[in-house]
Amino acid sequence: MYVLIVEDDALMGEGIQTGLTALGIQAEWVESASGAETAMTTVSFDAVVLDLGLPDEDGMQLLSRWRERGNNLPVLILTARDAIPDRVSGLQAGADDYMSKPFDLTELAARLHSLIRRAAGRATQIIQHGSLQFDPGTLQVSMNNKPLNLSRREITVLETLLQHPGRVVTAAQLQDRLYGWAEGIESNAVAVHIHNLRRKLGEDWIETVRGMGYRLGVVNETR
Amino acid sequence: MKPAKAKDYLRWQLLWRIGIAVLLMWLLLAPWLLMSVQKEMQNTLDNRLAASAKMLMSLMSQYDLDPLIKGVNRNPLFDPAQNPDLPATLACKVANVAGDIIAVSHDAPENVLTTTQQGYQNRIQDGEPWRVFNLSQGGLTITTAERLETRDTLMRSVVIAAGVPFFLSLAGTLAVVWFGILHGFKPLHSLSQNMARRNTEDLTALVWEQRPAEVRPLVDEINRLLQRMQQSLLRERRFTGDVAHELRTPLAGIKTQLQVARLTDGGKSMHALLQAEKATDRLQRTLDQLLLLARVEGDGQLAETTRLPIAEINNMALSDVQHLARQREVTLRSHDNVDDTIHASAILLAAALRNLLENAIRHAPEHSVVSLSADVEGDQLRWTVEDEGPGVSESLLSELTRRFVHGQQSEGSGLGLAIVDAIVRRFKGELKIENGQQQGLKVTIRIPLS
Repeated sequence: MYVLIVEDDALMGEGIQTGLTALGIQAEWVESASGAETAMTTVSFDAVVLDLGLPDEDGMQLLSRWRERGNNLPVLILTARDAIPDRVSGLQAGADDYMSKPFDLTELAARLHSLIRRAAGRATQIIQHGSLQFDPGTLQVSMNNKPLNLSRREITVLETLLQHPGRVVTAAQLQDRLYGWAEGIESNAVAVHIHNLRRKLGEDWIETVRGMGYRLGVVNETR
Repeated sequence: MKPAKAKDYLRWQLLWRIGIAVLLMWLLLAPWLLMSVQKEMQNTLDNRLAASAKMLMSLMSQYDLDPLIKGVNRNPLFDPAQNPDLPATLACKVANVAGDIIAVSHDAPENVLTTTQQGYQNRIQDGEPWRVFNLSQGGLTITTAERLETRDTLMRSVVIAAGVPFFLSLAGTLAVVWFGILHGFKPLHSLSQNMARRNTEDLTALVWEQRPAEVRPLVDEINRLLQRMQQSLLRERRFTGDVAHELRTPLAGIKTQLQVARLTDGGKSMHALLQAEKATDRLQRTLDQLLLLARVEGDGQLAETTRLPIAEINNMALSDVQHLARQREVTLRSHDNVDDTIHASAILLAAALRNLLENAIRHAPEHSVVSLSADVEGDQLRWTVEDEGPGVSESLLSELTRRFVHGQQSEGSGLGLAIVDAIVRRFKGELKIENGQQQGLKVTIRIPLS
C-alpha cells in the first residue's frame, strides 16, 4: 500500500510516515496543500491521510477540489479539532473516514486497509488470486494455504500487482512504492525483486509487458 | 427573585392612582357643586312660595269677601284636588286685617301660618321646620308655607342623580384602563415567552412590531446585548477550539512518536524518543503561556506592582533566554544605559520581554544577533527588540497579536505576542511590531514610568 500524508506539523508528519512504514505501509509526507497537489499529479497513491489545518490552504478545500476533479482516492481526514460540525463537513466534502488527534498508529493503519478494501469493492481484507492469498494486515502471503517466505520489498511488489489485477503497473510506480520518491536507487532494483518473486511463486504469476511494466498473470484451471 | 405582588403590577398601580385621583377631585368639587345647587334650589322654591302667595292675592281680589269673612273656613278653593294650580306640598292661609281667617288650606299648620312678619322666614311646628312667606296687601294677609323636609328630599334626589353617573363613569374608566393595559402588554408578554423558549445557544435578534413604541428602546438594547453576547460566544468558542488544537497537536506528536519508538528499533527508535521529548517541551511551553495569559487577563497576584530599576527587569528576561540563545547559537546584545525605575509588575514585564526575546531568537538565523535596548523618552520607557531573521509578511503583521496566530513553520504556541499585548495594555502602554529597515522584525514596547 502506498499512502500520501499531508500534515504541516513536522513531528506528526514524520512520525506517521515512520510508523506506517514500520507497519508495512509505504508512505510519503508533504507539509502543504501545494506539495500535496504536486505529489498527486506525479505519483499514484492508494490513499491519502489529510490534516485539515494546512498553512497554505484548508485541507477541506483541497479535498473538495480533488472530488470535483473526479479523483476518488480514499481520503482519511486527521484533525486536532473534533467539533461535530467539522466532522460532518469533512465527510460532506468527500472524506471517507475521520480521525481526531491524538490517535493510535495501528488503528490508522487498520482504517487505511479497510478504506482501500472498500474502494476495491472487496468484502474481506484478504486478497485472493487463484491459489495465492495475501493479508495486507499481517503482510502474510500464502499459496494453497502454505505460508511463503517473502522479503518486505517482494511483498510490496506483489501487493501492488494484486491491488490492480489485469492492469499494467509501471516499473516507476513500483520503484516509488519500494523506496519512496526521495531515495535514489539503482534502476534494476525492481527487476531484481520481480525475478526473486518469480523464483519463489513460479514463472507465470507475473507477466512482463514489454516497454510498459508488469501485470498479474491470469488465473487458469491448472493453478 | 421574589414573586411580584399585586401592587407591583403596572395595571394595579394605574388603577389605584387613577381611582384615587378621580375620587379626590370629585370630593373637592362636590361640596362646592352641592352648595351652589342648593342655593339655586332654595331661591327657586322661595320664588315659587312667593308666586303662590301673589297668585292667591289676585284670586282673592275677584271674590266678594264679605260672605267669606263670615266664616267659611274650609274653602274648596284651597283643595289641591280641585285647584291643580296650587302645589300639593304647599299650605296657605288668607286672613283679613283683624286676623280673622277667611280661608285656610287643608291640614294647614295654624301656628306656622300665624305671623305678622312680612317676607320669608323659617318657623317650626311640632318639631317640623317650615319655610313661610307672608304678603299683606289691600286689607288681606296671605301666608304660604312649605315643609323644609320636602326640599331636603328634592336635594337628595339631585345628589343621587348627579352621583350615580359619576360612579358609573369612574368604574367604566377603570375598566377601560384595566383592559387597555392588558391589551397593551400583550406584545411584551409574547416577547417574554419568546425569550423563555430560547436555549442558551439561540442569540438571534428579537423581532418587534411598531407598538407600543415605548418598548422599542428596550428591545433595541436587548438586541444589542444579544449581538454582543453572540460575538463573545463565538470568540470563546474559537478560543476553546484553538486551545484544543494547540494542546492536541503536540500531544498527538508525543503519542505518535512514542508508538513509532515502540514499532521500530535502533536509531529510528531513539530518534522518535527525541522527537517525543521535543513535542513535550512544546506542550509544556503552550501550557505555561496559556496559564500566563489567564493570569494576565484575570487579576491575579502576579500583577503586584513595585518600583524597581529597569536594568533589573532586563537582566531577569535576558537570563531566562540565555540557554535558548546558546542552543541556537544566537548572540544576545543588550544596550541599556538607564538608571530610571518603573512602577509596574516586574514579573509581568519580564515575561513580556522574555516572550519578545524568545520570538526573536527562534526566528533568527544562526550566528546572528538579537538586540534588546531600553531607553527613557519623556515619562515613557521604550524597549526595543530586534532580530536579523526573515521578518513577517505585511498581511500577517496586524494579525500577530491575535491568539494562536503564528508564522509558518513556527514552533511557538501562537500566544507569545498575545500575552505581550495583554501585559502592555495592562500597564497602559503600546506595542508596535514592524519589519526592520533591511531585515528582521522590530518590536517596540512603550510603557509609562509611573
